[in-house]
Amino acid sequence: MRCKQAERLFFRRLDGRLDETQATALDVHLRTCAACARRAAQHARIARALRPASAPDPVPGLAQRIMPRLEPRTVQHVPLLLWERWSLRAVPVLMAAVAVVGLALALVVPVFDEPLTSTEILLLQNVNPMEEARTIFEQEKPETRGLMLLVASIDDAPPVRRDRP
Amino acid sequence: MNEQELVLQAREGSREAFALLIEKYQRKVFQMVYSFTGNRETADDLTQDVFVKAWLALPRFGFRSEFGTWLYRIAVNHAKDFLRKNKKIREVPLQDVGDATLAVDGNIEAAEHEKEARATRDFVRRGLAALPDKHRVILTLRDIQGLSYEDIAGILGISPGTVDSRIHRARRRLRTILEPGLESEGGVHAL
Repeated sequence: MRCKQAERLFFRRLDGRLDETQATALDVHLRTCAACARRAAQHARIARALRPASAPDPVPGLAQRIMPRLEPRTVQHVPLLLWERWSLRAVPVLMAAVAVVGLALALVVPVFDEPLTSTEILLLQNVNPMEEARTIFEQEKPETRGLMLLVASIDDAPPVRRDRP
Repeated sequence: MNEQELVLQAREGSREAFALLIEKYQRKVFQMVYSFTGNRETADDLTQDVFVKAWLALPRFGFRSEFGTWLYRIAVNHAKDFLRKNKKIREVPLQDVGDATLAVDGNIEAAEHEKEARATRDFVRRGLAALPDKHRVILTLRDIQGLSYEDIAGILGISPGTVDSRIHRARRRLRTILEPGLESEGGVHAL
């Protein structure tokens, strides 16, 4: 054990925070290290001298001397700071503004009625949209599969002609 | 009525409740500040100040710690402020409460022994007074007041680990300060 560690353990002993194993190790060190033994003795004497011989009692009538010094106090509400007052006012204003904007958006912005995709239509009809694909991939001949894929990829929608100048 | 109710009532402005709290804590607060000042009259004045301060600060007390811990924190800070403003007080050793027993006893040997013990205490207290504030405070709380590490941590607002290391450093420093006296005359008439 190093001397610095022994000193730490000795301080722990002074405070009654040393376990048995540590105490034994410390005692072994103190028996073999004269410098630490001397330091430990000095620390113990200093600690003894610091401990009060007797603790004095307060001068009688202490409470009676304190009471007249206490100013009457009722529950005081701490005044709000300027920014607190403004932020409190701002909250309802902000809420009203959000409500107005939300209402305006709901009334003004039209709801777009987008047409359903073919997959969505099939799903609504409770039909598996992958059914056609499964039929194609189940074909044994690759030529047939390729032809079927080609036919399936042709869009059902009518072609749109570009405007001519 | 338990302490929490008393504190709540005192916080609402009840002087009667606060008077009961004074009765409960006056001895501990007095002894706390006495261990810093070493003078009964000064300790009496400071104790009054501590309770007046506590009364004024009570509306802001939020039960984040025990009332006692909060009160001791006020006491320690007030004592530290006092010592900072009155540096000379640091030189004054503790008045020995047991002085009167010296003469009354009549036993010369016992009186001699008591005189030596008092000289030892004065010697060590002077060393304590020479320490920096944070070391002086922590040794006062631990070695004079005998408070636990946890209580000290609560009062000073530091962790128990910091209390541990600060106490060690303070004790090492105090021994260094006292060492010349310890070495002379075969180790301090005193020690």
